[in-house]
Amino acid sequence: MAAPLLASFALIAIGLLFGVLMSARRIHAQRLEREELAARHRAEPVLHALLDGDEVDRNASADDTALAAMLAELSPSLAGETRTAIAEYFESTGAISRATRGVGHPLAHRRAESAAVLGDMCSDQAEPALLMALNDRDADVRLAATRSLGRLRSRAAVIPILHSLACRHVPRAVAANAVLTIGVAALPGIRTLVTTEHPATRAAAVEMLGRLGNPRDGESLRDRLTDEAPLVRERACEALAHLGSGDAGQALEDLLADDERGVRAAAAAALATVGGPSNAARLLEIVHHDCAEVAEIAAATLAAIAPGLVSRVGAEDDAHPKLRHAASMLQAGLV
Amino acid sequence: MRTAVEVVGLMSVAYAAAINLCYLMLWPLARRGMKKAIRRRGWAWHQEALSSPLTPGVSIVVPAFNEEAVILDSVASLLGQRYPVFEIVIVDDGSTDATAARMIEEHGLHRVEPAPRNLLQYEPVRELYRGGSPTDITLVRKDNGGRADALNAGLDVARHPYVCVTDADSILDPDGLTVMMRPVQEDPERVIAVGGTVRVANSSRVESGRVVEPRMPRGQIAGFQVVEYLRAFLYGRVAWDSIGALFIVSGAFGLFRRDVVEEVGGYWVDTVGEDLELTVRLHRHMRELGRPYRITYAPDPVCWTEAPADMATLGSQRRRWHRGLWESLWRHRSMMFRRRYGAVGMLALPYCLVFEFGSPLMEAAAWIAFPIGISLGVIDVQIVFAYIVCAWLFGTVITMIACGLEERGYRHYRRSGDLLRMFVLALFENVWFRQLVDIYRLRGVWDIARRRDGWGTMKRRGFEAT
Repeated sequence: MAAPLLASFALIAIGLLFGVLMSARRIHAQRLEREELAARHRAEPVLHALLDGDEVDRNASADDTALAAMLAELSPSLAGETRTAIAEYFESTGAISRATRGVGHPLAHRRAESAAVLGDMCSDQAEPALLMALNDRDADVRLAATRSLGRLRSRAAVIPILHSLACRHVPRAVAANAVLTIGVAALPGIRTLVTTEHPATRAAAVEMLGRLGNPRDGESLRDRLTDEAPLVRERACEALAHLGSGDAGQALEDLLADDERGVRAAAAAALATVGGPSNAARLLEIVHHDCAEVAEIAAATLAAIAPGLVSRVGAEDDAHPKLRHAASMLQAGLV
Repeated sequence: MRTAVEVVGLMSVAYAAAINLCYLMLWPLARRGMKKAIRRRGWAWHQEALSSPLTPGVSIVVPAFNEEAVILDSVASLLGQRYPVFEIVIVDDGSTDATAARMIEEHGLHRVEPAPRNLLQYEPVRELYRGGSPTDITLVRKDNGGRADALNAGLDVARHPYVCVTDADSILDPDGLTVMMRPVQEDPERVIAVGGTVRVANSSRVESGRVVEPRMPRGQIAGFQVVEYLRAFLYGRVAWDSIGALFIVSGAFGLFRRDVVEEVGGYWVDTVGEDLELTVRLHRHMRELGRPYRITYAPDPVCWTEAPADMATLGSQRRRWHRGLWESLWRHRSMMFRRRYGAVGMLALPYCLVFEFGSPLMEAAAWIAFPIGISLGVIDVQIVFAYIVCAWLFGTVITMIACGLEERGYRHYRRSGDLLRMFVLALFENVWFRQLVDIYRLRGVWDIARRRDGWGTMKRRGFEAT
């Protein structure tokens, strides 16, 4: 009898302990939620004053983290005097110094949190600490620092960020987004890296130049179409497609015979915006002879630049399935 | 006879000790993994992912067989994804109902000529329909060939570099795709597959294809599955992922790099456990080629699914899962205990064989041996009690830890009544539900012995009915 009794007691004890722990946890979490809500509530007048350019009450007990979190949603669209006012506010409250010290904290998640929050405080004073954090041993810290440097529109960060991107120290999407957030101010830095020795860095720079550059960058991008590194050639095709450099048509057509499948696919896709009907014959050849993925892209490009030809060829009895598909897409008005 | 009973008795005790030791070893790994996921959420960068022009596109592939009742809701849920570039590919796997007709009518799809890449094997495609902007919808109509076959057809027409597979009766959270793609965005060169969390949606409040208020199911069968899923996903998968040995990316919600899946030949159509088999095959392929890779798990994105609410459907599902497990283990038996295959070969697959596949057999042996042993006087009744109590207590503690992880990380169940219900179900899951599942798994073993195949039937009540 002792064993079942003991088991029942043990089960009840475990159940009670679990119940108490869960309840305590929930009460604690609810209290934290309430506190966070209250902190946001307290920070609201300060936020409005900063955004409206009004005098900020420095004695107001606004929580810096709550305020920065609220600004996080707005900071990419903030500019000029508003940014200066926000920076001055955080500098005067000592929040920048505290967060900067936090970037050197022994615990990785504390460093990452500090690096993330600095990006929303709009102060250039944070730049040196964040640049240092780009070389942190923890990936999350590097990621947060990259994001923040982008939000601070740090020109000094462009080259280190592109190097980090090339070395895969930071995620591609985050690094690229940071550079894009910096905007045209990043162009001088990017242009210096287009011919750098390291292929991955060259590829990253070419990609960014395609996104941020102007038609005058077309020439340097066309030069990269004959780069020795396939990744650079592929990125150059994509970049030229973005910039819409019309005179790159012949160079791109030449790349349809490239050894690398990715380059051929990128060249075929780029011809949809850069090429014209003069590229159609070569693209038709690609549809018939290249691998499925490249043929698919070539057929879609053909439908965009030579719809009449695709409708005619696609209607033939022995038409290639990709062309028949492209013709039916045209007929349905889906191209 | 006496010796045999004694041996079985001793083996059962040793087995219980070993399985509990395994669970204990997984605990710190699960705790660490969840802690990290929760911390990172504080400064997540979803917005960057959403606004970046470099965000890779995702094709959502949904196999559908006679899903006319749920297909429109399912697509509505998918269209609500907050992700910049995605297409939806519905594969009508030879439905005999109006699944395709409803899709064509609702979304104004146009018939176009099929242009398969023919990189994967599947039953012939009869018709292909496409929709226009704002969101691409493709409908593939093909001969019936089963779920894996339909997924292969979907992969073959998918146009984006990443493919998310889900079911027609599942509902994704609006941020599901964004959060699922986070590991990919962070490490695009290495991440080839990401598993997401699947949760039970029975009795939850669903509006316009979204779970707006998760609730604990009213029925016991579905309720027990809530705690069971929590243990499997938040405890098991987080732990296995942290040592790089995630052996299954769930078929209800998984993300794959399309080119790698094409490289390995897509889904294996001759199994009912195609999700497990593909995951193991991807591990095998990458290890054999010596290429760096990661198959990882993201605990945050949630896919809500309708769990079996009656014993017959549950039984059919568990028998099928057990058969699928065996088919995958048998196909990849040469990976076991081979250092070349890393933690998957050395730990995960042996664990699956011994503790996942073997547990119903060992439990059945124990339930037979113990009464005989007691009647013959070779096993002390007190020892049997101690064994049962220990197994029960330990199982309860593990389940409660999983519930604790949910409460700490997500708090999906906001109502106190739901929390209390989850707690009571966690207490009693090991009393009869686990034994019931073991009986179904034993029947799965019997199916394997009889070489029985097929999917069985899944009776759905639908979310509206809940």
